[in-house]
Amino acid sequence: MGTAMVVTSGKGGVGKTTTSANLGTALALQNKRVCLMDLDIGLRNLDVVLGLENRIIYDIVDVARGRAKLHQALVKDKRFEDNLYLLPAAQNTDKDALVPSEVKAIVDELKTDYDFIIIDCPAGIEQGFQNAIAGADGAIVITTPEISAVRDADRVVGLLEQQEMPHKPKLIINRIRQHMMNEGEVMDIDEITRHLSISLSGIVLDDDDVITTSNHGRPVVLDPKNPASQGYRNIARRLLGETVPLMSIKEKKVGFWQRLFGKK
Amino acid sequence: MQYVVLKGHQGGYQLTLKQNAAFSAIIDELKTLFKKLSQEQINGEKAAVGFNIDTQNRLLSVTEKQQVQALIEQYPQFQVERITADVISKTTAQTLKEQENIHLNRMVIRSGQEVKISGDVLFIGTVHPGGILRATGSIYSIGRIEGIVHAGFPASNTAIVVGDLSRASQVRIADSVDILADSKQKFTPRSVTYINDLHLLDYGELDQLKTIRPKLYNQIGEA
Repeated sequence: MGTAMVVTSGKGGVGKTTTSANLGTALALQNKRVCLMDLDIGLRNLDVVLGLENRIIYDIVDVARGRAKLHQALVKDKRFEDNLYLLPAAQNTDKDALVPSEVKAIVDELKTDYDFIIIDCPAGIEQGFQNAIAGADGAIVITTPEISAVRDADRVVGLLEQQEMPHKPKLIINRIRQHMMNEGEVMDIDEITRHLSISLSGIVLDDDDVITTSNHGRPVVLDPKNPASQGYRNIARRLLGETVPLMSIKEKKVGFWQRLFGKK
Repeated sequence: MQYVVLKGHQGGYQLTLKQNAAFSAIIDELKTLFKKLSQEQINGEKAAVGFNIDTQNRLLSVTEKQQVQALIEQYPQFQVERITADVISKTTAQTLKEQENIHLNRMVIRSGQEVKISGDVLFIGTVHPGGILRATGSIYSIGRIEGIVHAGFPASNTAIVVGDLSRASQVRIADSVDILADSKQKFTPRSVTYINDLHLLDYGELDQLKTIRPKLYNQIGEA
């Protein structure tokens, strides 16, 4: 029985889709069977980031309406043998096309077959958000070191806590610009974590390659040397070894500063 | 005044329902007529006698048709072969016109948009990635296709797609799908995509169209 994690943020543009794609890929690289589920109905792009857009034949709305079987709608990513699949969102309906019970049924069916189901949530806290969290066992909240993103993340954490999931929400701080954080111009990692008071799963540095690679339909995590990729890989490891998180973050943080000063 | 006229000719029996009569009057007259007929033995035949019913410039509704049919077929020796009229409804005419015509379309179909066309389409617009152009008939494209084209939707196997699909993400005809990103198929503006005898999507050139679909556009005028 697998675990379903919803990737959410409240605010748009903080990197939900990029994180979903990279985290899913990183888990697949760790030899886990992963199914990515795009619930951003009407504005799907997880398929584009993964370079699977051309292969979509059926989508999640087709599955929910019974027009297609679940296995027909799943798109296999050939780069990872049998480890990574995508259930694409519909592009020509709106967010109200699904109801939470339908999503939950699909997630439950997927859980029997996969180790991880990563659900890419749409921005906002309306119907689409309710659908995305319906079947999830846990949530990964994405924020950036910006006050607006942190504010929205706070709101989302509040909503998630009402939901009572088996796993507590985890935090990823995305798009960290080292120099700004160094100079104290943005909220630092401790401040954000303390403010949101959920456990920190990891941090991801802002890197140009994240954009370049996703433009080519190839998640950045495939490049082991890239700093953003290392962030995602570490988060994936922490998701797998449940007991380490806080310790390893501290270590990682030390390593991160060291690397930073080492460079200069 | 006689509202119902029965004639016999080579093709069988023709029953004309006069257009200027009230429908209730016709029904009354039919009742008496068939009561009389049922008592006579027509030519002593054993097989059921069929009637072609002509309603002239009147369109019978479905219930009216059923009424007439029930009235006649209560006698086992009679049956209605067909009911015809000299007129058709506007909606039927419209669909006929739509199906027979080739529609010129020059839209920009963007991601998430789905354009459905009944009949054939000559497409000179653009289909962006994520957009779908659907036609119940064939698609002739001289536009730019980067998304999905679906001809013969939902189940017409004889539909074809003509045009350059080298940038398209998928081509679909009826229930067959080909993901073009995976295939090495080369396209020219004269390429033809069709479903072959093995029910697989296949590709050819316009020169071969005569052998691929010999009946294409020959049916005009028959209907």
